[in-house]
Amino acid sequence: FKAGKCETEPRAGGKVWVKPLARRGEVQLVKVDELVHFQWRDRTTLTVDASCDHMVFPGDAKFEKVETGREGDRVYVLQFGQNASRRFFFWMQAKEGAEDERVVARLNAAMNGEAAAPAPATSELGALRRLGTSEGGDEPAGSPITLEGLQSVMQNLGLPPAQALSTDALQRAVAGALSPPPLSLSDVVSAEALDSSGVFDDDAIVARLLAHLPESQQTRDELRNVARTPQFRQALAQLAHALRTPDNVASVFANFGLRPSADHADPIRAFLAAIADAAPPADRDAPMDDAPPDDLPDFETPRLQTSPTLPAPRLLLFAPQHQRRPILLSSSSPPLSLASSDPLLRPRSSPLWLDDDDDDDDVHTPWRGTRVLRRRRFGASLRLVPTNEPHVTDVNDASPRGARRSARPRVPSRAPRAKSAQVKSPAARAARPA
Amino acid sequence: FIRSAVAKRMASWTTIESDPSVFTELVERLGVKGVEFAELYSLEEADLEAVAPVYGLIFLFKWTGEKDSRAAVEEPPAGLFFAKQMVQNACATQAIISCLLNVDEAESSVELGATLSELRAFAAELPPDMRGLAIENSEAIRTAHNSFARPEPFVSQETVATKDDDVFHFVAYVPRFGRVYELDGLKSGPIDLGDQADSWLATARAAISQRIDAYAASEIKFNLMAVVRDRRAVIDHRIAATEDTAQLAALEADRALEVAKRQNWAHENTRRRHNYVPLIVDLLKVLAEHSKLQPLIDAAADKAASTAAAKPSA
Repeated sequence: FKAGKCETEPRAGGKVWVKPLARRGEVQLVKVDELVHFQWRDRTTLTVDASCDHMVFPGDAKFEKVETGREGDRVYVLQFGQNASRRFFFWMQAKEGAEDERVVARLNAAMNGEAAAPAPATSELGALRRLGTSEGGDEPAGSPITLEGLQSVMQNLGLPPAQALSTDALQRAVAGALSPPPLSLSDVVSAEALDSSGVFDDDAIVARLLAHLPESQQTRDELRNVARTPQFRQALAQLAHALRTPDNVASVFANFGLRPSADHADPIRAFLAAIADAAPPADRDAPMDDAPPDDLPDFETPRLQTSPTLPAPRLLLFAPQHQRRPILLSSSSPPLSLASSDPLLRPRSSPLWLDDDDDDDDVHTPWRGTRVLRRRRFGASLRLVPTNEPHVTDVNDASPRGARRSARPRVPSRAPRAKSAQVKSPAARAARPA
Repeated sequence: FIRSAVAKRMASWTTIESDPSVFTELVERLGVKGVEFAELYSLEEADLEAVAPVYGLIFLFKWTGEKDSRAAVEEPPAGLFFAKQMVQNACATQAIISCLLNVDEAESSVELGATLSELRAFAAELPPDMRGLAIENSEAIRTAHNSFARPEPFVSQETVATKDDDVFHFVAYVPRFGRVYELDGLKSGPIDLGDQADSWLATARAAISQRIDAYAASEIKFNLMAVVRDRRAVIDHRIAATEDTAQLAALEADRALEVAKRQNWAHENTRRRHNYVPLIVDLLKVLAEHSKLQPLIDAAADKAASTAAAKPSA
């Protein structure tokens, strides 16, 4: 809640002598993380003075006029109730003193938690603003949403105009339309949820998890109870906190070997999604039954990765014919990133591309228009882009062509090609309509 | 140069949780026997009686830096151990040691153990600030203190200290030589609270109440702990003193409770030292592998959505 005023902070020299400072400034009340702060801001530098930023609790502080014995003086004091020595003086800088009383009354009301007059808007707008601040943790208080802007946004979203809705419905509608509310990691791994999931009944799971318990406590009972202990909850909170601080998120992901995807705005959801993607299903059937046969020793089990930063598509398209198979198999780049349920790309004993010997001759020749037909086949079957888009695409799609061109085999070795393809394809992919 | 040295000293003491289980095990690691810490949730006489005999009180509160008008004793009696606090993070340990070193070993059946007895002998002739340094430089004490540090799974890059950080302070109350003293490491000396009279606890309680009243009504972050005799020993003593079978049965039951309590404390301390993040991440992975993670996420998402919608205009 911003209350713009003009006052400046004087310095108290000694106990009683209060001297005003000549700086032009303003006092504001700002809501930071659910707490109300009383701040003084310098109007010339537009920075908040760090030495004048106080938390105020309801009933704790008063802002009142000081009797200086002189007419025409407009000195006020911010006095903290219990602690008599804690007070700060201000002098009004507005030209006329007529507004002082009203402004001070509003300030006191706001500091003491009474319903302050909101910004000029309908009640829905106020609700929306509060919704906005409660959702995005790092959004500054009071983002300027105009009613007109809101209505146009709503129409774009296909929702009825604001006036027709009640506050609750509006909140819910917008909440649904905008990003989902931030997820609480503690709720996901709550004790009740874990109990009902029955995860601790499985012996194999228990055996695996026991290793993470303190040595003297590696029992199934302890495992069942651990989610209730304050130490476990604290570790959860620390993990959640680390994920929510923008500086640390990347290193948290890296530490656990997870690839972040950009699909989720909420870092908690992103983290959980990355874990879900990285975990090979323990009881996957059929598709994986013909898992790599012996003559494909280096082929890794495909892992689900939705990272947009995945390195370039495999270069089997451009490998010299005699090298085709070894390159595919022993390449150190991560395997194809599509869902393993994709019938075209599951690791099979006889990969598709090996079936067509005819086309192999063309694989490493420079791109020419006449090769459209073959490229279509390759393009369709080997959609090597790590997104969730449909696998079969039009050959006229920009990206594969761009990638291919850049990956022209100037030098018959994989590494440079890998690099250039890598450089090109994300850019080309970005150019493609989403 | 000086500043970095101070910072280094401060950094070498970690913060520990102020919990009776932590403190009890801490002093036991220092070799103290026969002593236990009990958390008091009120200043009622009945509560204090329940944990008698009480050797000292330790009071934790949010430090506001306001000036205290009570004067410190200029010439504290020779046997009174008072040390000035030199390191912020060590304040709990300092208060504990101040209490313990003022306990009369002879009458209380408390054994101080080698480390603390040596400290007392060494520091007896020193002025209060040097005594503080003696505590701080004691390898044994610092190691024991730091062994209760919580594992920090994520070392944050940001510096945390803000102006609004709450600084908590410990103060000890001990009876000695017929009077009750308040030992505050940030003051220049002990404060004489008055005569012990019938029960020194009454005097101490009055002083603590005064402190509590000085805060706003909304302030509830206080923590009061009593340094008491090992409860098991107390019960044993009562068992030996009585022959009434009914009472004996009750006492045996109490003793069993105390033993269980100590076991719980030991478990908790093990948990405190353990880093649970690998467990959490592996648990999430296991859940994902067995396709159990998504239902949990969905349930939590539903809960989050319903609380967001139900939240009155915040």
